[in-house]
Amino acid sequence: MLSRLWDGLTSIRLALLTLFLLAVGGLIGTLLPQGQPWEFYQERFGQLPAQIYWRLGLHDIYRSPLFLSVIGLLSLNLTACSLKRLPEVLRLLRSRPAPEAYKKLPQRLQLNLSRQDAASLQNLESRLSRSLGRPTVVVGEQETTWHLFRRGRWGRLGPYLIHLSIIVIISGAMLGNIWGFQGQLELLEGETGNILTLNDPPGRKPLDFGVRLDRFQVSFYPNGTPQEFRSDLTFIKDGQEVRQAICRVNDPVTFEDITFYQSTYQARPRGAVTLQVTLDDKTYTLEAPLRQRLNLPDDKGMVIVWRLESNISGLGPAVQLAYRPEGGGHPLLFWVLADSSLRQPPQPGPHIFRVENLDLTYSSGLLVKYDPGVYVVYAGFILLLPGFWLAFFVPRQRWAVAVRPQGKGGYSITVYGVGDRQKFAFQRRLAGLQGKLEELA
Amino acid sequence: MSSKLLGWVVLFYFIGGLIFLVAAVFQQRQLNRIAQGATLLGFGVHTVSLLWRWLESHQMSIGRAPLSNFYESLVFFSWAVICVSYVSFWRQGRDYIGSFVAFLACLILAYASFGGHATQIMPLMPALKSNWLIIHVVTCFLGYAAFALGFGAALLYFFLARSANPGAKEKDSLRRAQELDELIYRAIVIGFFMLTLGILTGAVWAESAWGRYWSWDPKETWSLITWLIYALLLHARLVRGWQGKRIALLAVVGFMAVLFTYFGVSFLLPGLHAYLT
Repeated sequence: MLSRLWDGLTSIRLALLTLFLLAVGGLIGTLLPQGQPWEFYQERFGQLPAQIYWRLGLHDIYRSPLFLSVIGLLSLNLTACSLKRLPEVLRLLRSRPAPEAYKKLPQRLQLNLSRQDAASLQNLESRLSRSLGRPTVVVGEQETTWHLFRRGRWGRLGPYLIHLSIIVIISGAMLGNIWGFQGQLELLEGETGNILTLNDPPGRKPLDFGVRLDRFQVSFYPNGTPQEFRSDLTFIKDGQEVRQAICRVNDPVTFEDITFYQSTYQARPRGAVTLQVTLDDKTYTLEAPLRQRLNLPDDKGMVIVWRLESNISGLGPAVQLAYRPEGGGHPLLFWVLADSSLRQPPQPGPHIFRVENLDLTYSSGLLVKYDPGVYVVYAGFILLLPGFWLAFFVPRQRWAVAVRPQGKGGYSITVYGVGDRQKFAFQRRLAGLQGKLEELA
Repeated sequence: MSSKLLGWVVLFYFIGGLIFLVAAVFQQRQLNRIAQGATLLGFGVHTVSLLWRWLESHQMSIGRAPLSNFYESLVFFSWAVICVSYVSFWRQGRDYIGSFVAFLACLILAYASFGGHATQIMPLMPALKSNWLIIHVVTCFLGYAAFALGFGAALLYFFLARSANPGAKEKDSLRRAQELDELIYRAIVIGFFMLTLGILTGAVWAESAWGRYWSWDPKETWSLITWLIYALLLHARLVRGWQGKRIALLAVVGFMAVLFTYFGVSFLLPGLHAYLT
């Protein structure tokens, strides 16, 4: 029973099956909308299919027990396979080459040395080891000297190194999932914050230090899309300013193992936006804080400063207003450029709005995370590279060079060899050997 | 300007592909060299055009490698197909497989140039401004190109297996089938290695740009699916000893996954890699 379980765990069938199931999981995860509320699936697929999806966890597949257990099974399979086969491979690597096996290799070259050339035999060994490495020398029947070479045998370790690095990567990911966290911090210029908003599971988490946003800067391309944005941060611990740092996109900052990434920004007015409102030939000003409903004078409608953009199509800052004239139904949305010397986008009227004063500032959106598994994952990545090299690019060859004494003080040299599927490497090596041996004669 | 040169490249690849085809159908071995010459000439001009576009972006003071929108990725994909074929497999770069490669590169490039994609040099969004961009895109596309070559070899394998007629030619077609089988394997090993590098560099970059080395974004997930399919193929071959038709079939399935990773995800599924369109 136990041995059958072990056979199952170490079988290549299980490996192929888990690879296939992971691919199917990814397929479901990208084709079935993920992370939607129950009603969404119910409406879209009907009661019964929705219930099946929900029960199996297909709506959040990458965290479903089903998917995670396939990953678990793969890890088990990889570990079990290595435990089963690695000792044998290691024994093979340590063992001396067995002459009997080498004598059966196919013959590749044959060369006779006459008595006069026999002296150059002295150089044979050093010539051979220059291109084939250190030989095992065995003296066999009829005073034949065998030089046995194993090339690229470490290549056998490649698959095990790859499998080990995949286990390391999976463990790193597990570490991060268990002990890590990820949240957001939104700061206005001058503000100090230390409470993160977590999304998963939703919640709040206090840090044991504070972060102050000293300055936020954003620059734009001529077409108005952001070119770069950055936050100048100060970290404050126990009332002391401990460190200052600049956080940019693609250039995060780490403080006490917690990493801060520049992720978003939002334009905001400092205080209220001063609007100039014209109706017929009367003009007056209005102090409008963000997202606050204001009645227009004489109760002739209402307006809300709905949104701010720091740069619209390269025309500079703009304010989006939600405006309802007297007796109007839904509020109408439109943009007003802060620079009144520019041609303004059309407005519905009858009120006409201008921005008289806008003191623009930014809030910076920082992504904050702690992940003790990242370096484990990276270690797995690095381990993967030599693994690949050994498994796929190191040609494995076995060579045997036999030196047989002939009559009259002459010798015959025979080269036997076999290579793996990297045929070009084998042929190159063979041509090199031929050249070297012909120099002897 | 640089994109005007590509019209010539399309022509050279087309001519190369045509001569390869003639060489294969009429068994005119000596034509292979002419075909190779035409294709390599196209490849040279192609390379110049890539470098030129890079230079142009510097002159516009945008200064970035030409690898960051759909058009540029197609142009580079086409380049990579020829590069992988002729650098790694120049011995096999003849007859039908040479023809397949040259026509494929020609087709991709023609689609890039005449498919109505935005060809102007646009500035980069902040998240893309990183040295990881070049290495990530180059490794991924070299991988895709190697898989395309494996796909071509697999198609030819089926074609050959079907048209194999008994008689004097049997030995010859058996040898060619073995050659193709070998080529499929070698192309896929290169592709698998490159795709792995592409996924790793992408993960390291994502960690520094978005704070997550893996976020199950559709592009990531599909590149993993592709990786899994080829991993399956390699295990089936190296451990279970699969060869011939079954491996060729898996190579075709794998390339379908590559195509979906490249095109399907960009156009059908929303995600972090959406800027590609």
